Amino acid sequence: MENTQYVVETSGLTKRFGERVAVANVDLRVPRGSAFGYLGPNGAGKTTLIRMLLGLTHASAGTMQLLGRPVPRERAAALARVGAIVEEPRFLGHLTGRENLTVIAAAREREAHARIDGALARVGLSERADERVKRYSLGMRQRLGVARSLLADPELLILDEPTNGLDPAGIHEFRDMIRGFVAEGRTVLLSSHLLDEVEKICDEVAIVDQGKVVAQGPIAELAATGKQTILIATSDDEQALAILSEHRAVESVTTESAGMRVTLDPESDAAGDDISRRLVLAGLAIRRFEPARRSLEQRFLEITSRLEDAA
Amino acid sequence: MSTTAATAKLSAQRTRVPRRPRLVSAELLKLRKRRGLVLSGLALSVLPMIVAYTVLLIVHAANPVKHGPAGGLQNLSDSMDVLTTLSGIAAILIGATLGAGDLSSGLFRELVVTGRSRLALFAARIPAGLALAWTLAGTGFAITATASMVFAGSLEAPSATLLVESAAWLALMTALSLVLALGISSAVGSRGTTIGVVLGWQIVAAPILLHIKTLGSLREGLLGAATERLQPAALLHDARMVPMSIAASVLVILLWTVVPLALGAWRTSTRDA
Repeated sequence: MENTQYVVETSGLTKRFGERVAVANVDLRVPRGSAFGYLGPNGAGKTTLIRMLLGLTHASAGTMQLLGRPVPRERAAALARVGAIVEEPRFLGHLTGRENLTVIAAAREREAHARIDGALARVGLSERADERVKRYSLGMRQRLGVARSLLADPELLILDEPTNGLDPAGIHEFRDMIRGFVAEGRTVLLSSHLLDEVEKICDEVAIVDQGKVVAQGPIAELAATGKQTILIATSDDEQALAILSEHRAVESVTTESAGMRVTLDPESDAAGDDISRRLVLAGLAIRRFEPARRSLEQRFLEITSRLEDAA
Repeated sequence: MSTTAATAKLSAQRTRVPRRPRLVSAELLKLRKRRGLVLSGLALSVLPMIVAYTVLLIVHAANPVKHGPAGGLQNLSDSMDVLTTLSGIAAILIGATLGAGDLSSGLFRELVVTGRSRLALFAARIPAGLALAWTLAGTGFAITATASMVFAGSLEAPSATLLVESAAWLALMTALSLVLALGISSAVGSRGTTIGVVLGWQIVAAPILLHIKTLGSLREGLLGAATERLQPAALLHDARMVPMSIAASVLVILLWTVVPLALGAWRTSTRDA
């Protein structure tokens, strides 16, 4: 039961608020032992999905499994090994950091109390653990939130926009911490609207827009799919531009200081070879001809803008 | 590191801790660290007793002919009236805080995420609230009982039986105020609204309804009528306002306990966290 291939599996998961569909028929699979990004713009339904997984709100339709257990039917057993930060971590300001962890440890298994000191040390809060939380900075609260989720000795950490409000140093520290968790064999499900953040931290990603998962898979594979872009520089860019604009596989050409950025129709195989051949036959010297490194951001924008166009 | 190896390593880090009611302890920790609440409770349950008996002692010392001893049965009866009312208010503050505190701070969501049963989270609030409310009321009662015995002078001192009955009566009244406020506050999700509604009902509306004789036996359904039936006779100043059997009063009290708690438990179980 505990060693299933996927730590999160949803099928047809849907959440409606009246007429509005916040999460639409989501099929999600988060592989064990990975850092998995759940990526989408604000209002895409990321937090709602997480809230359903954690039993904070009911699903309107569909099924979910956490750590191989069906939820909500076996929610308690599943969540016993899940740590989570949903939106901004909340605490009782009149209690100290340690006391706040004591309160949560009381709701978990007995062994959770013994993990408090270790969790505080892990996030670098041992020195400030006996100060009231109302004196903590936002970054310290985020770290205390992580310490709190470690009380579960989690196989799965669900972090919803965990770097919100952190300064660059804090973000860097957070990134290392998450990779450290994955190195320990834990799985991290990271929800974020920050493409760069997800790309740097995660191994796999699901892109969500308007409540729907529109793409899912390893980041490198996702980034490699879709439209192909080539950077071209020749001895006569004006003539090259004329040739390119007549080519049926070329979707757009953007002129840059170092040449041209040419976007090709993803359905046209070997279009790059054909373009280079035509440029050479026209007597142009090719100074640059290389595929542009594709980022997740480009793929994300392609996907979401395509959806906007369709809408 | 493989997943299996990591899980084994993580499991090895776990150590055993002694068995105790941890959720209740946690609820009590949250309550007793609220300085404002504890100070308000002390100001309501303990301070008035200290002030009252100090004043009685001073006026008796200043003019023993005009003012009798500070202790005795009559002063116990009077001070129990005050203590019951004020400890009830303190219990309402505690109950309202227990019911809505986690919601307003956002901690309820964090507790639900642990997977712990929402009913267990709700149930833990009851003994924790009683522990604080009874501690405060008990301290006030200890002052009252001691003063009524020690400073009785020439007056009749209360018997040990009456003191025990009075303590039980105070405990019942405090507990009822607490569960009423806890249930409503858990259902409504607002501390301020609960305090306003419950205080308004207990202090203003219910006593007025009790005095409207045209309501007849309908008044038996009021908590005040039922609790008055169980009040020690020596503490009563007048005849009971609503005659009713002990069985009926116990039934009414049970209903006033179970219904708000059931309402609070149901809402705690079903609300979005």
